Amino acid sequence: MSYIYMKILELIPEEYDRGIEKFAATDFAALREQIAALVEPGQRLLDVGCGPGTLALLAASRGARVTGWDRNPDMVTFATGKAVELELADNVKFEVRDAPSAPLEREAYDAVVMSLALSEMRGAEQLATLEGAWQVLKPGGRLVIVDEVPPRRLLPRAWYYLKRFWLKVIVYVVARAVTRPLKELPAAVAARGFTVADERYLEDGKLLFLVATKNASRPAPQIREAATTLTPGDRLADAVAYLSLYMTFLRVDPGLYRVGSPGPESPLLVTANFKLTFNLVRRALAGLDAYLLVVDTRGVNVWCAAGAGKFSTREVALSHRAFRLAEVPHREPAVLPQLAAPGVAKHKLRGEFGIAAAYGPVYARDVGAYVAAGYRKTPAMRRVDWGLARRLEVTAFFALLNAAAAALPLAVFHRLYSPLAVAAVAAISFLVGVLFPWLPTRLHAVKGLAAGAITAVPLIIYKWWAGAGGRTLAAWAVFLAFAGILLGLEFSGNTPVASPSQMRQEFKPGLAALAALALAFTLLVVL
Amino acid sequence: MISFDRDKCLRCGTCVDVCPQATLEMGEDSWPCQVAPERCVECGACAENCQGDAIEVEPGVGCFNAMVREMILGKDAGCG
Repeated sequence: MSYIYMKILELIPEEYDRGIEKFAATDFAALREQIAALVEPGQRLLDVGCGPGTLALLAASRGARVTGWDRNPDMVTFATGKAVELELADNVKFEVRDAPSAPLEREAYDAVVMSLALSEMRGAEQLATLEGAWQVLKPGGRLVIVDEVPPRRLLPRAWYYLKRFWLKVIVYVVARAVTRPLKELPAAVAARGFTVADERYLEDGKLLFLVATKNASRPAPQIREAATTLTPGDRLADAVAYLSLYMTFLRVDPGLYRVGSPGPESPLLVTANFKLTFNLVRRALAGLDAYLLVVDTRGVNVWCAAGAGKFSTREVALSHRAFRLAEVPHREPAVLPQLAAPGVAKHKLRGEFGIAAAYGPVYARDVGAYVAAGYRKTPAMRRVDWGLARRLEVTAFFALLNAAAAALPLAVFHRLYSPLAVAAVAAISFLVGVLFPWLPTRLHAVKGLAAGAITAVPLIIYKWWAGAGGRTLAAWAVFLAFAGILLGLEFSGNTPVASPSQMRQEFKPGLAALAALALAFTLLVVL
Repeated sequence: MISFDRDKCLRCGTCVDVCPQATLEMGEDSWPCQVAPERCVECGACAENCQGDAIEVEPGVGCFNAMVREMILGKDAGCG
């Protein structure tokens, strides 16, 4: 329960410290004293994820000059109030900052502390935050991390994961946030260019206390190889990924990759971490020498991730920091996929983060020609392809998945189940996609209804010829209308041509029609 | 549909560059203009990348599935 409790505490600055201490056996006051003692009077301390500012204020009261960052404005307001109350405002300032993408003062701090901050972040955010710490610290400066880690011994570890799974579900429902304990944190800190000086485990191995010092130099950034040919395993993953937009568990690790043997004049391309996207891109780059920055879009393709704010200016900036692109000479500007533009602002990347970027072609297959032409696009490279070949490709998988989805409930629940119904669903799906531009109106529901009507002609004739009664024929007609409207609406997510205002226009009437048809079907079949 | 404020436009051409439906073009008079509004999918790429803040698009997703998820799970559910 403590985990849920902590998530709720984050919403209440006044209760945060007391709340945490209630649930931990560790003497946090003593821990804070230890951390504050690492900073000499007059030295500068950065507290990343300062919360209500207790540690920052303690260090300031001992003479340190402290900056506290928190992304929660309530925490910053509360901490600032405390600083004024304690007459420490000259020694400490609190700022609303997003640590992974915050502007950095290079080599300005003697110590950086992160207490229960990293576990609030995704992997790429954690790496960007650690990189930020490396950059703001003076050589020899100290990094202190107190955070939740999975226990290292096998049995406690297994128990821990089992317990956390359910807690995660509950917390997500309550607070829409999850905490990610850090795996292999000491190794990640060392790889960033620190020497770990102290590493202690508290709370039965669940809480790590780590002190590290910044090295004067460090190894070059890690660049992984991206092959331009696919293995049978990759192809299998692609086939699964094609089935649905929701196959987001098929991801690759965000990071910096290389294709061929790139050098300082080679292009830097940016892409999403959906496995299918990554595979398409690297295959298209065969024969080219290039760097590939894979951004953590949480397993979503470029277009959808940009629309949902997952492929964003912030995400590109923090990935650029996390994977140390500033230390990898490459041809500028960085090439973003054009379809990332709804989520990324190129001028903000340059203005706020100093990253020069350009929008490349929509499709990876055009990257070679784009690079060869000196980063110039033809009008065709800008335009989303919705021709027959493309529609066939999309529709084949759409029809397959819908047929499979229809087979299951029909087989389990309904005495009306027939292979014919499944075939009808496949046929409607296929017709909606292939005939898309020629079906009437711009409305997906109407296009779907038309596809249903086309399917109905041979089907009703066949049923009538086979001797079906009027009521059965009516039930089939209603079923086909329902399937047509639903599949037409569903197909909107597979096209690049559906606009939000149009979808808003047909959303409610579409749902109402579906409900009415479902009712009619039930009446015809059950009564 | 998008709305466009000429007073703020810097005529940099970025909006034309990012439009995936070729609904924007640089006109003869070197002002960008929407030549095929019926093709616009309101993706917001032009507005997001407009340095002069001259373009406004009401954001949203053109995806039935995402809208159903939003209805059930709340505003941020969206895609993926």
